[in-house]
Amino acid sequence: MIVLRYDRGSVVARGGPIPHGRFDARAGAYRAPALLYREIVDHLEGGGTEYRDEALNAIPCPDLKSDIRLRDYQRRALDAWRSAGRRGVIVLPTGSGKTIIAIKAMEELGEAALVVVPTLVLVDQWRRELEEAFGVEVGVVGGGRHLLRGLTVATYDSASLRADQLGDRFGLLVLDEVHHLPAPRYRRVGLMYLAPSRLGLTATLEREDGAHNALLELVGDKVYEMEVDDLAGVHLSEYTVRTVSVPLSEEEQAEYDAQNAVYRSFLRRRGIRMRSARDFQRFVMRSGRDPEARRALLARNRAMDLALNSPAKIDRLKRLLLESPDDKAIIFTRHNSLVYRISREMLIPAITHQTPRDERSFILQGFRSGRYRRIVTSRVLDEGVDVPDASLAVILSGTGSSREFIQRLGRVLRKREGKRAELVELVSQGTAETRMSRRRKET
Amino acid sequence: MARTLISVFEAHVHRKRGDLTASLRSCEELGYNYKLVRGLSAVLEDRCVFEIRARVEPAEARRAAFDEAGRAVVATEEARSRALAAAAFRLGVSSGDLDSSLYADLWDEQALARFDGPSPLELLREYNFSLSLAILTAASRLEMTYKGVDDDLELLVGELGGRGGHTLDGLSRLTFEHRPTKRTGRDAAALEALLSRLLLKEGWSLAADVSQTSRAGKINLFELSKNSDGGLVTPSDLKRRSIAGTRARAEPAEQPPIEMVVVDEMASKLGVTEAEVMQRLKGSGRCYVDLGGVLVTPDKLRELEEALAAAPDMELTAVAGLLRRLGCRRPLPVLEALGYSVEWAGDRERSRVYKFRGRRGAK
Repeated sequence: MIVLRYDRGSVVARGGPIPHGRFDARAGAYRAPALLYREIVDHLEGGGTEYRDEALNAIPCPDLKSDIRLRDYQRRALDAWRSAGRRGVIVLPTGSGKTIIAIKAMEELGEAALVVVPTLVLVDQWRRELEEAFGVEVGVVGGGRHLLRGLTVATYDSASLRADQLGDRFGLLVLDEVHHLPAPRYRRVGLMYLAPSRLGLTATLEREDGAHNALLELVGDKVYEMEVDDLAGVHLSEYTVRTVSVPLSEEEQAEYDAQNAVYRSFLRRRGIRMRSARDFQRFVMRSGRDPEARRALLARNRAMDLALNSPAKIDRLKRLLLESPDDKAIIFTRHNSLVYRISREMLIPAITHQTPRDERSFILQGFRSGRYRRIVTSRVLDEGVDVPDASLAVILSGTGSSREFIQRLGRVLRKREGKRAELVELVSQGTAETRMSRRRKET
Repeated sequence: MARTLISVFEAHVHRKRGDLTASLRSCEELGYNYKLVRGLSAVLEDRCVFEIRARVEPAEARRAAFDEAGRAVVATEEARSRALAAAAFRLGVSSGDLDSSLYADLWDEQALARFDGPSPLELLREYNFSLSLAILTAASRLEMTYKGVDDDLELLVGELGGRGGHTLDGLSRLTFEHRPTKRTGRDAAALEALLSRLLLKEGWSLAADVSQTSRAGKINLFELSKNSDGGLVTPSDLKRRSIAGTRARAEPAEQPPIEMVVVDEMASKLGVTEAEVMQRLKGSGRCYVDLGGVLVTPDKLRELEEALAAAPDMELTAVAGLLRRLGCRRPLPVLEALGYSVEWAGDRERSRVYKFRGRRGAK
């Protein structure tokens, strides 16, 4: 008889071979990645092979009952996931209630579930949501905490670091912001956990490096997708996107043109074309050994700094906020230096990766309650964090990434009676930023 | 270049770290190789003590200022001054003090309180040591020889996954396979301790096979010996380093040795991020074993492991009490890091602790 056990990220079979198993002479057993556990069990079942399954050692799960009702598209998404064998990725815009779908999936399955999220803020947010939905204590792994429960929330970091210890303890993996999973250091979460059921959630599946294709193996296929425009007006707020061109001052423009010319002329002389992120990465690597390339890189950085962080943008931002003083606004920048400059100058609370956890919670709580009408941030609020009721997003600077753009837009789309959301991007006129702005909106 | 950089650091005592960084960046444009400027500066930074200079705890200053600004749009200098003045009045400080305290805790805003400058030659020796260490992190095999026997060196080799060597004619030889590692963390700390200790031995020499990731893993031989390089490589004096002060206007003081750190707890206590805590501990010069969220000195780790192995009662309350007596204020993350699991039985009294894995980070 074949006996299946779990051992540090692998399914180990004694007594006979298993599909995808390699014989491990030291252990005297066959070994296969934990990811294939369900496939192995299905194969043994289907072939009528006698086996004993001692691999999954799931934490007992309390009775899960919630009174949450799904909207029609949430129901369709859950049905699609179920039909795909409880594996796969659901792609829905921010604010459309992906968490609710996961809660229903947990309720339906009634097995120990591990929710994996990218940040500690999201850990706390999910824990609160789950405790509220089911009235049970929820475990947390991450940020120095380690409390295992039938429902547990972990960061990708912790779930990955402790994959060999936790890989056999859950029947369901919920992978929030699942586009993070294919990153090399997080891939272990997909590979080393037995979890037969896997649900990936995201608003933006595609990665610029193409690594999202790995999700098919690690989680399953995309089973359901709706875009912002499919839900706007009904389940999400109506919204507008406005691009405002802000001219640089004369001196800034002259400096920008001079620096940009150094960069462009280098590319031209060397016959380098920038068609992708990979091309730029190669250029940066070259600058490490080629002084001329380094001068060109520094010139390009100075030019971008002028375009992205121009003082004229702050003046325009002030006018914009004065035009709608009652709107709850989130101001996004690309660099922390600009965050702190705005925070200091306009006395707006700031959140960056350097903000201590307690202060970040305090600011978000203040924003929720209305004590603060505006917050300024770089990239930490781009995804996931539940910030209800913001109706104005101002992109002061960003990248050309459409994912970043969609996520920032998502911050203001939560539906509220009578609300009309607006996203305003301030773009330095006559600079490379205009191209970046076009690129991020292309999808 | 070494002399120039040392003088830049000396000129920035009592000035902000951001100004120092900007000046160092300018040095990169003086025709020096920027990688050398950065490497030497990193070594010099280990000789700096930075501190937060603020009349009001920065987080408190921010809260007061933002609360005062409240829902209004602060779009003019007058509106800003009014809000700051009102907040400062409530806190009993001047507007200027409040303003300068707002973000005094940011990395770039911290002041260089003390700089223990080396001579240019000392700097180059310490740089060579750091560079050697960086190279060794990419080594796939190391061989060390030295006169006499040194149990501590063998222990450190064991820490890195190697085994004891052999001694012939009074000359010890330790050879071991090494998995290339990151330049920070537990293995890097063990490598640093190993190299520092080796350099103290008579007749030491070191050879390493080093793989170059940028050249498809091509292997190069890296060699150092007391005879040819002994005067060119020196570890920095670890005692000179200390953790940056965190209190307003506090004089930098010698820190008591910290044997065990739960990183998120310390971050919360100091009001900084976990990354900053890691950075400070790295700069403290002490050797820590990184158990993932929990850092412990090798001696303390041994003490904890021995105490737990000998514990007569594995009920959670008893084990937690034992750990607290050993100076551990939050037993649960430490237990987890050491490979123990708590089986919860509804209440703490009946919950038990089991050893179920090797400690994190253990080979």
